[in-house]
Amino acid sequence: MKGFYLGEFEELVMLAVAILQGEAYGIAVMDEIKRQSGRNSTISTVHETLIRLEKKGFLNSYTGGATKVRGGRKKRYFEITAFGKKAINETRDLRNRMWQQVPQILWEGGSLL
Amino acid sequence: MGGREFIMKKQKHNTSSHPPHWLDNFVRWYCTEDYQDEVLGDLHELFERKLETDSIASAKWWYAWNALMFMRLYNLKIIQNRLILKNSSAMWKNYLKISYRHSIKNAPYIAINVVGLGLALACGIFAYVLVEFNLEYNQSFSNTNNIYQIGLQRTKNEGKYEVRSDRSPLTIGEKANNEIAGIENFNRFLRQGDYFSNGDEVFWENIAYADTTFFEFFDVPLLSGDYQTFKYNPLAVYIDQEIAHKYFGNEPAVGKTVYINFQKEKEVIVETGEIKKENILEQAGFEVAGVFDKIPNNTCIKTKILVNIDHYFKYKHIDKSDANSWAMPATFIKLEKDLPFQAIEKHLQQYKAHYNYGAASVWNIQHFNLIPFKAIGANRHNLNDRAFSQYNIDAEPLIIFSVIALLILLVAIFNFTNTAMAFAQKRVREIGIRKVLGGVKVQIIWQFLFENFITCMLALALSLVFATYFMAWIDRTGPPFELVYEGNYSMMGFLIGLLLIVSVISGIYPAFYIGSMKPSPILKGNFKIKGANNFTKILLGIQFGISFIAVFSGIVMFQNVQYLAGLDLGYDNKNVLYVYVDKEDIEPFLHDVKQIPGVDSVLISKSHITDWSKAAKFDYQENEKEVDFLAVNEAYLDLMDVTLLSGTGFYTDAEKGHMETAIINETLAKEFQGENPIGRIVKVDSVEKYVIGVVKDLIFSGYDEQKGTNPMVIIPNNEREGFIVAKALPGQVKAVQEAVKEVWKKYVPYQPYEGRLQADIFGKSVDLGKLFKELFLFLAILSVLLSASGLFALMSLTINRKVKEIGIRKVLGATFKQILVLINKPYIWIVMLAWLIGISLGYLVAFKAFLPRFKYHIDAGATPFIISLIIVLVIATLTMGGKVLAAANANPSDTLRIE
Repeated sequence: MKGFYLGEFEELVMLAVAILQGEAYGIAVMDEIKRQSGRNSTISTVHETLIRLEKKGFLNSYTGGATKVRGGRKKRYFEITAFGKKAINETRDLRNRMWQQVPQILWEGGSLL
Repeated sequence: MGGREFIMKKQKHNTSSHPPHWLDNFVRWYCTEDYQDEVLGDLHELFERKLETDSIASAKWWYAWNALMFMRLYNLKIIQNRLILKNSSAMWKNYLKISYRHSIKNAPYIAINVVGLGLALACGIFAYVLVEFNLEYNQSFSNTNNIYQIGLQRTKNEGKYEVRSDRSPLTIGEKANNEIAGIENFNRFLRQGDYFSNGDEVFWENIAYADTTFFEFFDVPLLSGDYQTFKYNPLAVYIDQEIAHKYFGNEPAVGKTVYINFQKEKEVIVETGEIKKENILEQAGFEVAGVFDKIPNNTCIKTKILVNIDHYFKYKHIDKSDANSWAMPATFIKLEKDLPFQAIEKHLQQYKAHYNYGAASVWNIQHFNLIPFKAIGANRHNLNDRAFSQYNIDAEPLIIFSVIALLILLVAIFNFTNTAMAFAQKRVREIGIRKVLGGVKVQIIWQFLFENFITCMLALALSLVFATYFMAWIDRTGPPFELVYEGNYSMMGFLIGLLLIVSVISGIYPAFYIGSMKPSPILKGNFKIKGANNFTKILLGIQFGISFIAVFSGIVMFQNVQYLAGLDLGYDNKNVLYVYVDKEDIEPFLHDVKQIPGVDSVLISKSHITDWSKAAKFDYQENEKEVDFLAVNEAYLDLMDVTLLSGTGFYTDAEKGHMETAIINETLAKEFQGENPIGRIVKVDSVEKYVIGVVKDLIFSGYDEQKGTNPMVIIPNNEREGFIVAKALPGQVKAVQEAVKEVWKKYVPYQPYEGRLQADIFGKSVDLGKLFKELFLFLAILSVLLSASGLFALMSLTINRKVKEIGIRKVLGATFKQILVLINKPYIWIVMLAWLIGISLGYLVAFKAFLPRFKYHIDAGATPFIISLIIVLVIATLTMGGKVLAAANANPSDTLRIE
């Protein structure tokens, strides 16, 4: 379990990268998070998280896609590695397992007390 | 075209808005290269997006904020690049090895450079010591700012001269302290030589006597003992570490007994019943109450032994309440904090009447002035009395030396630059390869600056050795400077600063020149070695210019010293020595001196030609004026070989009326307006005399006096008192002086010998002339050597460059002479131009700035011009000769077939 630990924001970033499929660079990821969760994150935070995930081996990156608006500068695109896929799967499985163990009554009966 | 571009730029600026460039640069500065592109790209993209909704200003603010937010550990250069630096030590090692090999190959030039710069830096260090000594004069005590010395201006000789004095009436300190509010305390201070002993060994020491308030004024740090004992124990004595060691070795000195042998006059009744005064010694015991660390030399109260001033009063029979006492200590007063001293000075003026109109006043005080303690050093040269003369420094040699140090430093730095430029040509391949392998300009510049720094460091190390010798050399005249490194932070700062400045100035141009070389022509083999460019030529010119100023001035100073040594003073100053002896001892003294072998003649004379003179009133036809005055033995003029211009010398005893005669000097003879003064009746101090002779002006008041020779009158006097004047046989004057010292010991055992050689009376002014001479000759030799080595380096460079050209020319039939001209022409021009400018400036320096300080000096002659020209030719021949001849004689087949 230890090796797959993903923080909450990290998980969002990983999922955004997975959703974007080959279009995942800093701003796109930031936008996707905003679109999905309504959450405002700064570009620097997103970028740092991406780099960190890459260093952990969950993401891979390559450069390309210079545009005029970027002053001819390249983007760094991220994609999920097999190890990364395993990690988000593990995270989801863990969550699901735990969800299933929550007593049904909590949801149906309103209050336990 | 420039205009259109400008308009386009401006339009672009108006329509689209870029994020501020400096912010981009900021990101590039902190961010590692790996992430720069994407970070800036993201920022720019979002900036554009921001612009669509927000104003330019807020977009820029957003941009700035986010650029700052991007500073994270993962992309910071300083954090991430450290690993790379660690791996470059092998690279640096190799660079150092290469530069070391280059230095070994060029060892002779580098040695000249390092030694030259070492000497220059040593001059700099010495100049710094002098300046530091002066700037920090009297600054070492915590009360420095509240202490003032009471000085006064008085008139002498019925108002003729106004004299400033730094000694004061004995009673004024106490009086002012009691009567003027604002004065906290007073302290009287004087110094006197006495015999000092530990009961076992006796030495002559200079002892300071001061009031018990001394330590309240000057908080000299004590190593052992305490300040209070000085107040309640009148027998307390304080000594410094040196004295403590000298008398007590390593034992603790505090509590030990020491003795001072005071000289005392005592009345004794001799066998005949007469009462006679006799000098006796009285031994007084003191107890060491404290040992202080060395008092810094740059303070006017420097002393090694300190005793309560009451003992001085007691043994010298001084009445402490006598306003006219001959004991005139320096008086210091301490004012309350931040009190303006001008107010106190004003109050002090009320005492003028008290001191001027007392019964037996000796004072004639015009004005009291308060001298701030820390300003005493600077003001001292204006003072007539030299209570602190032991530690006197002249400002002028100091300034001259600093300027000379700066000039030498310049020459040495320029030489460094020039030779570095020359060597750089030999390293082009290294630089080419470095650049091809990815070395950038900045790296190469740093490397060369660093190499230069190392060489300068060698020079600095060498200069520390030289500086020690300099101190010893300059120490002959006994200035109190010391070269202290330990704990001397300002000195350390100066050395480090000097090192950095010198290495940057001397290295920056070659470093940039080398750093900018293009690798491709170098490696293709068609790199053209540039010869000496204009910059190095100008530097060479300045070097030689300074050298010729020094050469010219040095020759003039040398000539002047020779001239002064051979100057006709109007009397013989080579073989004469004199000593003042008390009346009681003078007859037996004379008798003993007569017995000394090597003495030609000896006599007693009431006055003598020394560096100070007495004055008399001279009156011719009711025209009264003050003149210099000598009252001498009638045989005196013969003994001194005084040059008689007209008339006769004094008559001998046998002839009648000789006491009414007078002899005048040339200058005074001019007062007679063309009449022959011989036989005229004049009055000297209201006594009638008739003039029987005129002598040549006697030069005795130093060479550097601005005033003309004074008029002088000489009258015969056969009182048996005053000076013993002896003339030695040629070449024996030193031996005779030693013998006279023995006689002195016999009759005056308690005082050091006070006689002098006649040749020494000019003392300082002659020393000053010699100092000028030595300094300029030193500068001349050093700068000529340095310049010549610089020239040699540039010449070799030129010849290396022109080897092929010379070969081709020779093949095509050029003569040896034509080739000599070809190589030498540019340098000959530089050296000749430098010579022309150098001697013109040298002329101004020598004849307009220095020589006018001397009353007697040489006039401009052809010699310095000719000698300096010869030096030019010799330098040119020596430096150019070997190398050029070799090149011009080389067989063209050797030089042309290399490839």
